[in-house]
Amino acid sequence: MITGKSVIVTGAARGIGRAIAEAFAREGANVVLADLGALSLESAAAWHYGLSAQTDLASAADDLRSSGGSCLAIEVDVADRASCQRLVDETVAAFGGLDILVNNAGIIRLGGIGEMDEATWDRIFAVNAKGVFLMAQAAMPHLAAGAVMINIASNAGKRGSAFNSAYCASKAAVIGLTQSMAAEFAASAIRVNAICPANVFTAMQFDYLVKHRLRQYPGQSYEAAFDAFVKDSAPLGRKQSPEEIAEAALYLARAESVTGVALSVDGGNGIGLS
Amino acid sequence: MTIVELEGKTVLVTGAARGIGRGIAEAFAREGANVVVADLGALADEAAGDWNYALSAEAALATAAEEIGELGGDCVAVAVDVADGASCQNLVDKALEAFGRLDVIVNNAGLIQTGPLVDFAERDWDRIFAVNVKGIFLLSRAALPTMRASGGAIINIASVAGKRGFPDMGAYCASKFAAIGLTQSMAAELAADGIRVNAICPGNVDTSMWFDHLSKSRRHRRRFGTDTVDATFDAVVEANIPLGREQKPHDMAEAALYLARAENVTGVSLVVAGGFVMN
Repeated sequence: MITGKSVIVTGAARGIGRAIAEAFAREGANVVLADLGALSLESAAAWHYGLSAQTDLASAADDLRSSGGSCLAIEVDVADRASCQRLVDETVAAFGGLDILVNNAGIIRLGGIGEMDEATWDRIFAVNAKGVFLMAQAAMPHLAAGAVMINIASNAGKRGSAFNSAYCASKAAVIGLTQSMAAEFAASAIRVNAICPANVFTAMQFDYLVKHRLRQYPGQSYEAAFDAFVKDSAPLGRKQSPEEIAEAALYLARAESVTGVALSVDGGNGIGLS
Repeated sequence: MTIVELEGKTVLVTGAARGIGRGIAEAFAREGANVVVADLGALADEAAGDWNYALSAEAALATAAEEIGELGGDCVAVAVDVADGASCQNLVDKALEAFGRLDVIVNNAGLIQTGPLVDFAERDWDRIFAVNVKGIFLLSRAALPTMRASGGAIINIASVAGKRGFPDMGAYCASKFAAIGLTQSMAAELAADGIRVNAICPGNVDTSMWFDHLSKSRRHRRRFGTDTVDATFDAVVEANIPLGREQKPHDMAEAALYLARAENVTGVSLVVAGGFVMN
């Protein structure tokens, strides 16, 4: 039952997080859309592709509200403990509790191990892995029996790839953390699962990754290069939509006997990976 | 959001007379699907009359079909031995005769025998593989000419025993590992035909496989020192399952509904086991 539940989705201003927030709101939940917002100016200004901005967060919440969803926008930098605490406190104040936490915020940068600078490595781990830990720690005092945590990992957490070491390692860490928290919180009847997308055409892709794919598929538009790449990389041959990831999140939120899994929603890209 | 409409679709479930299969058949019926309930039925004596515990019999299949038919869509019962190619072909023919199409197949029929490998009977090994693995191959092969035309989903019920080995369970574990291997191969091979293939891995479900066999098994009696099947099952669940309770057929049914509708998911083996096994 999702109706009336209090849900936080991080990275909810756009892409996968936004679709998840919309799906839970459609099912009658009270949803906090959490993202960098104005914090993007300070905490991620130096990042190498545009992270979501203040206007993205505001308009995601406005759109959801105008379609009848119960929601609230709150700024967060998940790499910052105090910021995570504030997000949880404000959520509990607004909606009377916290039932479902979706840790979706994530960033990427490609690069060879030899060339990757330490600050890039640290930031990727701070957001993708430590952000899940910090949010979980802030949320725990409020999570009661029946509460659910869903972490957006990636097939990159199940299989390494060249020039993507920091991201792959951080997503593998998310899966390890998911399993550890699932084992640790089971006695409190709190379930923890991960979802592993493969190729979703979000800002992470079209603002960054696809530019590298153009080398493999020269002479094509970004979207065409992406589609060609996906066709070659998954048996079903098409990208995942943010809505398809949201369907998995709804399933996991409801699946009362499922904990500790990392469910790939990937068109078969990860066949054979556990 | 693309939610695949199940109303009017045809769903075929093997091992559907009871337990997990029945729970899955009921769930699809409630969604308005037409359901083919397949199980040994009258074939039980001939196919497996001397198995170590009672497999589902004729009466169970008829009752299941009658009760499932009251939930939503139409329902027919067909007797099948999934280890027999001609029987699988007959099942597909009957399904098409009744409903004219075939959209989802749930390969759920399975059986178990446990015991140390040193004196494990070859006949038992062969029967376990014939039902648990070859049955998936035979029924899927029979259904492919029809399903290729329109696409669809195949869902194989594997097990946590397909993810890791357990003592006294060599044949069953190997058969369930094979079911997962077959799932992945079929997923890769049939994607071009618009057919998705996934597996579900239950942990400890309160079915006859547990109460009529596993709870009485040497390993579990020794391990827990319990003297009733209920006490043994409870002890097993407490020892195995971090969430602290057994899985129910409806947990598997929810997973099956998700996988039937998840249009971009193929080749996964989804563990529904309360944290018993996590990858």
